[in-house]
Amino acid sequence: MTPRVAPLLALAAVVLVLPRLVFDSADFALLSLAVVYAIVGLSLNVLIGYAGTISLGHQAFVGIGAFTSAYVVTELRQPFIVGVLAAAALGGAQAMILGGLALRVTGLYFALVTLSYGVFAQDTLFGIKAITGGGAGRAAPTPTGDGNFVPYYYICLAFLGLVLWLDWRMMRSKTGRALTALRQDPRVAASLGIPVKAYLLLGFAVSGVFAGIAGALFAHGNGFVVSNDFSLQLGILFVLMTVVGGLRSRTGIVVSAALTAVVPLIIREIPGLESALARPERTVPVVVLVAGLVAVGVGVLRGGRAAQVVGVAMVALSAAVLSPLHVPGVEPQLEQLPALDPSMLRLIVLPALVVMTLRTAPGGLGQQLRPVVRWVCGGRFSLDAGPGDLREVVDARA
Amino acid sequence: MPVLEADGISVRFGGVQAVRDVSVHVGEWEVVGIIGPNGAGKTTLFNVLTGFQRPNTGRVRFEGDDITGEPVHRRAALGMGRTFQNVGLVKAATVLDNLLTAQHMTVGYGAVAGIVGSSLAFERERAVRDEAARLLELLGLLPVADLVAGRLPYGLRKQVELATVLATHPKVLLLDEPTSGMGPEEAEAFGERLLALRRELGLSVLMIEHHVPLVAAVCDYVYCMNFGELLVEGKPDDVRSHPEVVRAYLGDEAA
Repeated sequence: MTPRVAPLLALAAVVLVLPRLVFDSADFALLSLAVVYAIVGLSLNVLIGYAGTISLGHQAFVGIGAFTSAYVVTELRQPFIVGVLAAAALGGAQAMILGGLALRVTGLYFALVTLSYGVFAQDTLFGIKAITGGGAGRAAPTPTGDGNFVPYYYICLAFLGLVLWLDWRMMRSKTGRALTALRQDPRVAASLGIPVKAYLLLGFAVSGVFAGIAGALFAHGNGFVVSNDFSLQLGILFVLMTVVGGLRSRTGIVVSAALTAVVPLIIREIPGLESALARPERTVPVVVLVAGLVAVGVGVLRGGRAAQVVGVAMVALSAAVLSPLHVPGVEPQLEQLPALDPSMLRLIVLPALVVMTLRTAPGGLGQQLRPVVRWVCGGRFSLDAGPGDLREVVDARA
Repeated sequence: MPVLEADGISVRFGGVQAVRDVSVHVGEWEVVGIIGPNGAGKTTLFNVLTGFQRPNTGRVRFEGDDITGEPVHRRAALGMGRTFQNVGLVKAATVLDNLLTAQHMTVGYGAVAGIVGSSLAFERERAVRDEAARLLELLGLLPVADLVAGRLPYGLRKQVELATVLATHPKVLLLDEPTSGMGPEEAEAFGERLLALRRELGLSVLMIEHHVPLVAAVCDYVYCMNFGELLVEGKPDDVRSHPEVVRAYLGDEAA
């Protein structure tokens, strides 16, 4: 299949040129973060999607990369690129140590190990004053100059391109096939001559290298790193955005991670949304209204009587509160509720999307984007192609 | 010299003696069968031979070398190819990808070279693809090359599994119930294919098999196990009519 030129040029224009036209140069800090999130998503995908394990402590992977690069650049006075390389190397090394544990504990227990590793890193590891500057944090100068994020965005894009290339080559070489085999059936993998433990460790190393690069880019985009940047909340956000993007789908994960990162920007751009979020007496009835409508819809489609009744009640109630009639006594009560922080929105919206992903579209966002990607890559829609479900999920064979 | 040899193998799971003091050996070019009722310890013995299970006592030798402590993938590299009772395939991958996976040991480039996309890796990948196509053609599986392995009908899956095992260039094939789920004609055709493969590739075969006519037709030597022990061994016809074997399969009254 030969890729189509026009759509690829359009894609390049969207990524390279459009941001310059649409956004202020101040917004490029956030756009750089979107690219960093995309790299983090790809890093997690190696573990969850390819190797079939899990990491709930990926914020620690990213944090180690961030502090490493910051230390190398500010204390050792090395150039930015050395910082990124050091972050990649150390990220890979620490991931392999954690991976060594994965060989002994599996499943839910390993998830708990990664979870506590993340918390341990934030509380203890990132508190080592000599390296991380303790609670005060460490400076990480932006290589393109303070506040000059436009060129930095392009640097981040270059690294995303590198990660995408490595990921693509890995999955089309023996490593990718080995990871697929050991994820599906380690016994079969071993009997085909694949050293299962070694390849699991290699998967961790690759994931760690990607996360280290992301961490370095995160640090130097921020200008400053503190241990509080790498909370458990962030680690969970990483997992959610990766799953919503669709495991094993590079396109889906990049899009989903980038969207996750720019949600604050979107909220700011929609007029009135930010101030509305700060007023619970308005937002709560709206949420109830939407939930009620969804319940009615589901009730009608699936024939659930209870869902319909509850849904109608919710709609009626919230409509009454929102209407100019003002149900007496309700509004002051609602005002007592805490305001919704815009950044919290992601942690509400993403789990909802995950549930939807798992219920109705197991392939995530990537599955929805797949026909487009295939078309761009030069695939033709064919009537003789046979049922779609007989095909491998990602068929990127040349 | 025997290709594969097991000496005094015993395996105990807690209070259950799954295999007790069993010795088998497979000579060059030999097709050897293991029969016995369900729960006789045949698959456990197989797991010991292929490295999935450490024996409590006994040694396993491959071409004279002691491999008792070697991990599964090392034994595969030495030339032991194994099929599974419930079909050992990467089920979500296509048939072609399964054959590529099976050539893991012979691709001829390092893992890192593959990840960074070295030109050697590109070149070798093409050779691996050609080899996969050649094997699929040989076994008449080219029409299903692009289908997902796990969705194929059972009999076809078994054939694909055999193709993947052959792609690892084994010297000895260990087949765990290769004809389960097949009808008598299919089983007979399988037996002929097995003998043809032995002729063409110089393979030795050890197989667990319930299909007695097939065992009688293709095996040079047969072991019969019951309750973890070797009951009888010998030429297929002798074993088949041995009163102990008849009793193990049909109960006391039949004998």
